[in-house]
Amino acid sequence: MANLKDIRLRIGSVKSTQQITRAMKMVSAAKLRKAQHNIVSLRPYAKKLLEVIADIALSKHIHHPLLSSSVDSKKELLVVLSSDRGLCGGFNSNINKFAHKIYLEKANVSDKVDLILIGRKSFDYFKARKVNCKEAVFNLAKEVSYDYAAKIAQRLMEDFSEGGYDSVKFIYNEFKSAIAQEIVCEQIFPIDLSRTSFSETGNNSRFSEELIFEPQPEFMLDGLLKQHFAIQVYRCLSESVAAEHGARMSAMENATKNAAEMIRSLTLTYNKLRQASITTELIEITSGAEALKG
Amino acid sequence: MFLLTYVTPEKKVVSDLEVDQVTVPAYRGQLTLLPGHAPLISTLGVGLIKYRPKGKSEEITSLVSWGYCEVNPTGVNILAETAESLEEIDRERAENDARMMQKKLTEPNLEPNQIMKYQRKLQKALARIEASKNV
Repeated sequence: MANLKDIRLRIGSVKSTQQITRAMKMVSAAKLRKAQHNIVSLRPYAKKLLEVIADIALSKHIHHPLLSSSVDSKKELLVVLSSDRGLCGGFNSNINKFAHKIYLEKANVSDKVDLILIGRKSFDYFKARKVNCKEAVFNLAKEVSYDYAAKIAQRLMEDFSEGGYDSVKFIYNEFKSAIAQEIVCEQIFPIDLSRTSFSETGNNSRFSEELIFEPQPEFMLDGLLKQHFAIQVYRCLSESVAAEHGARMSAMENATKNAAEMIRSLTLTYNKLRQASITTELIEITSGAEALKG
Repeated sequence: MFLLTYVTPEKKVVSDLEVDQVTVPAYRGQLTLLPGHAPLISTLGVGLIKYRPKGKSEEITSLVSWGYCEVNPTGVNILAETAESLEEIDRERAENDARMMQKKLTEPNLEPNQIMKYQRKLQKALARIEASKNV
């Protein structure tokens, strides 16, 4: 059994750990709010943009390499989004396991599968398993801005056209709520307009053939698609960051609770021990006195 | 019904606001859109967007830079890269930016995409200066 001083020190250290976890929870909660705000504010833009693209593509029947939808893709580029830092529960290990599984599956069927890893955690995971990645990007959480996302999108688009990939997929944690994340694998390039809701609702009849374009539609579609992909990348990044903070928040919440429980049980042991030692001392004194009397 | 939706990736300026007229810096210069305009899709440059909410006499002005403008039978959609209200503009900073970009553009051996980047920044700074005169 540990002595009184050890337990006292232990209680002190658990308390300070609890303070740290509580602070981290607060920080994550604040960051989560910001990330959530990001997602909400970009949704209308993303929606309108896709509408405009669909309007152009459907009214003019334009074919664009980034718009065509090949059914079976043989060369794929997987982009995995994880975080740079840990202490967020199963957030990173789940996404890594999932990505690894998909990677192995694809490697069997497809001609070529390449990985781009965003976030240090997935880079470390795949490095430990001797899986080579095409590229790795770190220090993301600090600068999730639209500009940054646009740069990544630009790079991906170059990779897409130069690397001869059939599709680019993003694997990331989708933000469901502050306590729930869902891992999704989503195809970013090329976009499949037939799956968007516009063609279903017959929205393409909104325009007559005499839609005025300034400048030429072909030229404009290029820019619009670039914008669209930048927005998609930005959305995925924001989702992943929001999910990370949500995961960290609940992990830290649990840690704080566990620490409280531990402090309680340690305090109990401490008190028991203290009382036991007082009792022993009293017995010693009284029995000493009794012995002297005798 | 003539509804204006005006959004950027980072914020929503207005959504489904009923307006009487909208003026945008379109591909071929300033373009004023009224209800019943023919369907149109145009790129936007850098400049001022003005719109008048229905029933109001005052126009709301904001600075927009690059993006797209779509006119359909129900209204106008503006997808801008950035949108700033006139109060947000820091004239001194814009003037500094403009000077710096002008200086950078005179440097020898610039790559084409660098030139484009600087020109865009210069354009934006000049538009900001112009906009701040209107306050």
